[in-house]
Amino acid sequence: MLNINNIHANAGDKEILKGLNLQIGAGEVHAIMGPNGAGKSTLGNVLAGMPHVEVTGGTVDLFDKNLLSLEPQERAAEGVFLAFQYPVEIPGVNNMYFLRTALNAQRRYRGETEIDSANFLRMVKQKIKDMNMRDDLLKRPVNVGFSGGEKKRNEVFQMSILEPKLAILDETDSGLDIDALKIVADGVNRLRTLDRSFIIITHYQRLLDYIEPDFVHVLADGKIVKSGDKSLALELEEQGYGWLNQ
Amino acid sequence: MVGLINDWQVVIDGQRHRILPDWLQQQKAKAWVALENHQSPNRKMESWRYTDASLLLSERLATREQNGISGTQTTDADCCIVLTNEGVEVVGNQPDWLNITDIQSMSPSQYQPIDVRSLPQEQGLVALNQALVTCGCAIEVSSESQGTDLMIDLIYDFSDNNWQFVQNHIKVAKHGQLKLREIVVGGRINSCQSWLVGQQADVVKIACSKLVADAMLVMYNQYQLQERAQMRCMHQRSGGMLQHHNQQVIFIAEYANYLSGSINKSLENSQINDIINVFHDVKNNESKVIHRSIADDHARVFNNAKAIIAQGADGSLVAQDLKNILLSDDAKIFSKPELEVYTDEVVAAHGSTIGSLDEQSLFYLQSRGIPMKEAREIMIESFIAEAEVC
Amino acid sequence: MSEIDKDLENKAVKDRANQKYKDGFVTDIESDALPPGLDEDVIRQISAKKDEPEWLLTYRLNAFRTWQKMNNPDWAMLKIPAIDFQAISYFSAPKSSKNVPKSLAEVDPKLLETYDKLGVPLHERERLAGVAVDAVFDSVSVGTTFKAELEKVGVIFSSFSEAVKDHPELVRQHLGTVVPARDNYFAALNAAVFSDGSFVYIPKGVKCPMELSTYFRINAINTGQFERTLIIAEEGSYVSYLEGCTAPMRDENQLHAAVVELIAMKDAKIKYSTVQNWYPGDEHGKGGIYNFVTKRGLCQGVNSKISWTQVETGSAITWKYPSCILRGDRSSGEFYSVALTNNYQQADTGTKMIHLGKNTKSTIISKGISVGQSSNAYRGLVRVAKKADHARNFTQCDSLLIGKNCGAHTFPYMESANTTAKIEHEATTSKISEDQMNYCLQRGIAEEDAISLIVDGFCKEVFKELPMEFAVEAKALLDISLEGAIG
Repeated sequence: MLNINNIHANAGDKEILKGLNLQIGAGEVHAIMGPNGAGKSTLGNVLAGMPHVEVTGGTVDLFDKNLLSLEPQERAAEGVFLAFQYPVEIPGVNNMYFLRTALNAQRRYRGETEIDSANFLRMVKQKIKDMNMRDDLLKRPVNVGFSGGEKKRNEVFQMSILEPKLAILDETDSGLDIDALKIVADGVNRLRTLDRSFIIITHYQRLLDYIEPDFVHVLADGKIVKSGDKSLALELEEQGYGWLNQ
Repeated sequence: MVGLINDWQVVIDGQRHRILPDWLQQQKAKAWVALENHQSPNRKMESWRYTDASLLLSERLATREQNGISGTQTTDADCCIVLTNEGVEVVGNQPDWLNITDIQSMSPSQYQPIDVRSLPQEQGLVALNQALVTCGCAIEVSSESQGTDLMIDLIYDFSDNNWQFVQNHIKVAKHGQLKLREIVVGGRINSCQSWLVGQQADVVKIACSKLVADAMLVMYNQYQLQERAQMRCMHQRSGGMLQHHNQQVIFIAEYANYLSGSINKSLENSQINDIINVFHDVKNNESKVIHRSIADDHARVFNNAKAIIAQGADGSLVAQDLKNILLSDDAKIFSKPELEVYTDEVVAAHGSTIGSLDEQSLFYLQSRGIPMKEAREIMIESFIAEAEVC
Repeated sequence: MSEIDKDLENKAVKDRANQKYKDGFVTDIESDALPPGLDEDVIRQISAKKDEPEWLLTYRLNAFRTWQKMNNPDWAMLKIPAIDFQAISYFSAPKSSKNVPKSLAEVDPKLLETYDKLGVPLHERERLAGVAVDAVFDSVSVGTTFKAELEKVGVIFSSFSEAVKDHPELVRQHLGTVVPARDNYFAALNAAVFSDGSFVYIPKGVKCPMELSTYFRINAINTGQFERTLIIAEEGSYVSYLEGCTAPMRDENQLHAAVVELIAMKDAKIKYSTVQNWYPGDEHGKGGIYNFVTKRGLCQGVNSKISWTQVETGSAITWKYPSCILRGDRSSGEFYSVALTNNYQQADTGTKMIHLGKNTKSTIISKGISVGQSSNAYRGLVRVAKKADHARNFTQCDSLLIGKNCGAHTFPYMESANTTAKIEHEATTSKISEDQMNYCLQRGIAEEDAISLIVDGFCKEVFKELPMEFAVEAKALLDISLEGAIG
């Protein structure tokens, strides 16, 4: 479903991705690991269409559609979801309103009918319970006054509402204690379906104890330097990234 | 200055039919003489340096839209006070605790003079108001208003071509409670309001001046707050050719609180000046001023919040938070938060920014599927929400 | 307490009071001065004494005529007593330097002694290591150290008068281009009557090998000081420049109206630091220098940078706004300031950052400390012009109040006409926090030391911008100026 072919990308004046290739099939979970500064987050940003990341070469196709030619909101409506490493705070805009606006914008784009507020509310109530989040978070402004763990949970909760085809989790585990990590992982696992794919960007193996990946890739210096199954993550954990250079 | 008088001479014709009480006529005559000491507003003045004051004297557009609002307009308020150049009309249920007197029958004891403290030499328009006032009213809110939740509307219904000079004198008694919504839509209005907020009184004022294109509004409001008085003011402004708002807040006793939020949306060719001076004359008072302004097209916004903490006014708490967003390269924003502190037991802080909508947040919204235009609207809503204090 | 103890204590207090302004001595030296008064004739005399070319006299006379039509600025938060410009002498030079000394060996030993006392030795043997000094005494420069060493790399560092003689083309080309004579009342006055000052020229690609420094000293009575400084940094060059100022303790107020112009070409960097310790007047507000100074830098070239650092502890009245005009794309301006006022001192100081070029950046850090009966105002302007895409400003200005009778004021002006620009201003005003104070006291630090410690911490961000040896001096100055802060 997703085909990343020889992608090159700059952030500022610096070349970060230097010819990255990756194929992801429907329903697969791919973990991207690698040292700091390898370009892991840039990959997520390229897929979501972050303005300051400039793609200088290569192609990305999602279901045979050229993803790179689309605006960020069009990519979202096509099914790309990025769970931000640092979710943005939007004071004065409540979570419910924000989510309904997003969902309906996506539905409009896809030619579907908009969801009315009663149905939306019902759906949201169920899903927020699933995420073990308090109801009142819905009435609060987006991410404002949320703890680090709440922000990350909120990202996964948004994912559950927007039901993407490709979910990218950018270091969703960073800054989480073990309990929060389990909740987030449970949320993600619940969203795993036969046709929904995941890219899980992480520095540490520990998230993969809870979300079992089908494939593990090591990203270093802008390229994928090693791919394997789940056991690769364990090897990395044991031996560190220095071992890659040998 | 003679120039000022000549410039405005024309406007007083046609308003002669309003007969004011003798004592007020005498005051007007005195004020007329005092005008000699004033100049017409001009760019050399600190409070007018960012505004095209010559607009004040501009001709009205030949084909102007119908821009007054009529007193019968439906509002959701329980009681409407409608100001016209014929007088004051009260529509709806006037509660017992609310007393309204037309300026024509106002007594000297209802009159609360305005003592312009900051840059008095620049307040020629206030002096002009004092010399030319013809309309307005005294509003008295008694202690019996305590516990009420009624919304009172104060509607400026002037669709006249000429400048209107309005004065309102508002007194809220000890323990009184008032929710007042002020609505201005069109016309050319020079208004002075003088408030006396009594001990432990609680006032919410929502001032809406969403003006039609060629309207102009010059307002000078004075608020005097007595012990433990609470005042929350919310200003919603947009449009018009020129809006010049001046608030003077004076704490005359301790433990009072003043909170002000302004939302200034300046679009097309409109100019909005938002000036607030808070005088912490005595100890232990708290003031907070929040402005959120947006300028688009060819518009201009000037934000100025000043707090003056007098010697001995210990225990003062002051905050100023002025944020601005510039949406067009032809628009301009000026921001000036000021602190003048004469004692050491204070906590005073201010912050001000001028910038554009935050790109990171816009991207966040887009990445959730929200198109750019909507994302910008949401961000603007988010931006102004912080100033919604009541 | 016994009488004797009291006497001793009084004496100690007096000694201390007298120590407060350590540079308050007068040098008894014969001077060649013009009688007080100001008219075109006086200007002609100044120009003649300095043997100036005709164009410079014309420049002065034009400035004088402009000045006559101008008014004393009244917008600052200052109470400025009327200044009688006819009671001031506009030229005073030590007699011994009538014929300009060819080397420092010819300088009057009394003068050398003066600068020794000020901690600025000019002798060959004891020069400040790594710092070249130009010493200006009243209206003339009395000596410049390390001249030869600087000439080797092509750096011109001389008194302004010498520069007029030796490099007239450079002076004529740049004089008044950053601060025009008509700019303001005091700039016009300076342009008419300026006597001496420093001139610096750093050629293309040269990194000036040492700190350059000018030491200003007002000595003569009833004399105004009107120095003029011009620094030109050509493409890719770098210079760090420092000025220090002192004056004797006198009961009369004296006027100091200087102009400083900086020009930075492409990739050039100028760092300008000031430790201003003019006599502030006594604890009753008597005497002291009126310090009306116009300082402005032009970032002319792409990627140029001008950085102002000032520590202002002296003067009865300070009126100065070292500014940057950021014309070159990617140029940047900085302003770091500590201003401390005590007793009846008044300061209205700050900066202007004018963003004209694209991607220009400015940073303003201002720390004001008000003590006693003094008044201390920050006044700053940040203006972003329509074409200054992606301009960025950050301003932080904090005020500390020590005592019930002083004033601390903050007047920032922010103006933007560009949607991509970002301007941020933050300010706080408060007294020293009781928590901090109690913490220090509990750890056994005396109140006065604690204040000094906390104030020093408050100013740290600015001090770290000063060249090392002057940071130490600045801290010492602050401690002296803080004396009597409690009580």
